[in-house]
Amino acid sequence: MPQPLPLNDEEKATYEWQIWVDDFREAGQEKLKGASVLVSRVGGLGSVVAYELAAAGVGKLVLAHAGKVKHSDLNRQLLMTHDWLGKPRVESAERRLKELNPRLEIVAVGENVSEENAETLVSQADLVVDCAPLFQERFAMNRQAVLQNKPIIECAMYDLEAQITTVIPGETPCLACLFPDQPPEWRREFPVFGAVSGTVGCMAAMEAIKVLGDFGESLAGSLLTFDLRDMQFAKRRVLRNPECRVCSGI
Amino acid sequence: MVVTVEYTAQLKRASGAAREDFELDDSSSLVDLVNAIADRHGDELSRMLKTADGSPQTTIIPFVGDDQVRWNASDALRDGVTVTLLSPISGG
Repeated sequence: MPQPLPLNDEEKATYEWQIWVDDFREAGQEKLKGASVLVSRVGGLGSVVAYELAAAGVGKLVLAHAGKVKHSDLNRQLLMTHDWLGKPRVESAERRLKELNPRLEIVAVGENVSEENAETLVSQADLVVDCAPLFQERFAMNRQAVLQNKPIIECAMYDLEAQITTVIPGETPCLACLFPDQPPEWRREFPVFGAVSGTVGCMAAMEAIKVLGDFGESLAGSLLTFDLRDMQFAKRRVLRNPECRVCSGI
Repeated sequence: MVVTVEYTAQLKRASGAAREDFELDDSSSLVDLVNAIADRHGDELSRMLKTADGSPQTTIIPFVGDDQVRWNASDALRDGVTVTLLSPISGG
């Protein structure tokens, strides 16, 4: 977990309203300042996660996202802008985050997470937020997060629905416990509104803040599911898989 | 017994329903329930729920009430329960 760093006067002024939160206080803010988070990718979900973490005063973000901004990103990828069409997504994200929080340290990587780079990317962060669309990326991140004993927030969406859980390696189900195999029917492109990805993104950011700040009750061991079509929310209990190929040995 | 099934995400789209009831023998298992769903809805939903050898897809997570259950649980079903079938989804 992160080493707390003392706040300067500007930071105390910037984060005054959240420092008023009783079980967070200045000690929690110092933990966020000393913390680093890997966000992959910074699309519909990850844009909002990164923006909220930047606003909350997390000290360092590692952003991994390949490709260039295109029109179909702009309904939900809130760190991408119309004037950046055709230019690298991760550069747009870095620029927008720096406008909000110039103190933020950003490691911007123009690649998606893969088996080849997951170890290095995860090693640069205290916590991971998985916002990736492809299960092979998610499995690579999950494996490294478990191996490196780092919490990972798993979030997902479809249509007006979403799922989110927090994985604490060795204590809770990991992604491979829940989905042991590559889902055969999953496709990278799917129906969704930006307001849905934004809702899940805010929740994922709050989960990260709680875990890093060591306060509140996270979704460890629970899967929150919701459908914004009829506003049905459920907090469900999920099980570790004793035969999990990733986490059964720990 | 009568069991209510709730579908999520792609399963909801393929079934055309958010929830529906199934009448089953009292000794029925989750696998029997999946077979009943597949029989009612046909190929698209069947492929999402079952592998080529007829066993449940490991990437669909079954819940009874708010508790995850194993596909091979022998006593998961009883009259009046709601079974949610959670479809695998991701970010993007």
